[in-house]
Amino acid sequence: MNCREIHFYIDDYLSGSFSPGLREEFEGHLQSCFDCRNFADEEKNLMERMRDRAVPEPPPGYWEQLETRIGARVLADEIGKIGAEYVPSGSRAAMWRILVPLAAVLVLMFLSFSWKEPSGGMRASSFSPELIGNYSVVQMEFRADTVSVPEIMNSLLLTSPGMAGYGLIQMERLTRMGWEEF
Amino acid sequence: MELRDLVERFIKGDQKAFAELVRRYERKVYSIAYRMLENHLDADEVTQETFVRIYEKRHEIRDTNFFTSLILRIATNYAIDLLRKKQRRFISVDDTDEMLPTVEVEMAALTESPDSALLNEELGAIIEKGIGLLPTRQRVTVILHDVEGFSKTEVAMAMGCPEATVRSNLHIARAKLKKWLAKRLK
Ligand SMILES: [Zn+2]
Repeated sequence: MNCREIHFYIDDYLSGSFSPGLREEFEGHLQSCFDCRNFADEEKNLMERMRDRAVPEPPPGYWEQLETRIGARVLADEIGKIGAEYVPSGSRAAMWRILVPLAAVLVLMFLSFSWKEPSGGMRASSFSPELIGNYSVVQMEFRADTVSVPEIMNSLLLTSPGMAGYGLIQMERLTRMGWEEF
Repeated sequence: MELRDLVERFIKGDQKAFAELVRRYERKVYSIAYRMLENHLDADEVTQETFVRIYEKRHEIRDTNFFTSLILRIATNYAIDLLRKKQRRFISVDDTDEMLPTVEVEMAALTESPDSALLNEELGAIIEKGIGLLPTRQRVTVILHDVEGFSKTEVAMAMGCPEATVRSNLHIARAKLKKWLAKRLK
């Protein structure tokens, strides 16, 4: 091996991915060449220090909360698409414009729950307009204790401000109707 | 479950597979984003956005390798965009006159303290600062390969360049970092 090859293969040498034969050849050169020995030492030190540095731990409970938010965002996207398909025109359009966001909010809450609970759950691909129209069914299965309303509204706002607006109005109505868990 | 099975199920729209992939990759993505943006809120935004986007792009994914490099690509591109949006100015490592004041402070601590544990800690901090001053593509390459330990193939796919470019970026970046470190320790 020559000096050029030492520079080129330094990572393979340091990571230990060389075959014993190549390793011997590499080390043979290092023993006979001061510059390369120096280079290999520096490189090794630098790499070790770079890999040592951990980033600060995020606040407690962060990962769980992140997973919930991602799940909610993804579901809001799915429902938004279905909603867009089912609001083309006609007299029922206005109804869908209210029902879809409301269903989105409710289903999100349900899903946020099931996201953490592998046994339950619902697949986004299994959503049908019947289900969205039939949002009361989803309401019954919903548990409010696992996710906060601001969290969901935040997810919705990022995805679709319009949807979030409708969702908020519907949520307020539900609260006035006595759904205290909200 | 094997990563390959998870990715296959995810491509077909399996929510549980997606949730599991999020759990497996969230720390890596967060860590890359944090190293690029150096604060929790931005790292959080990048992490969340990366997974939402990979979900939207799931139909384009061909295999497991592609999945990993796509995650890396989305995360680093988003982080770079965010950096640009914040109009953060990059100072080249070569511009030593414009050294940040915090580095001066660290230097003072370094020369005053003979304690070797602290020395190691300070060395790490100086290198980190140096990485932060590299030009964007070199910086991303160093973070993905040297710091986070992804392979040259994965990094090349993520950055959309040949492996030779990854090698030369690493070569140049490490030489700069060593120079930077030597200057700081003089
Ligand atoms: Zn040599």
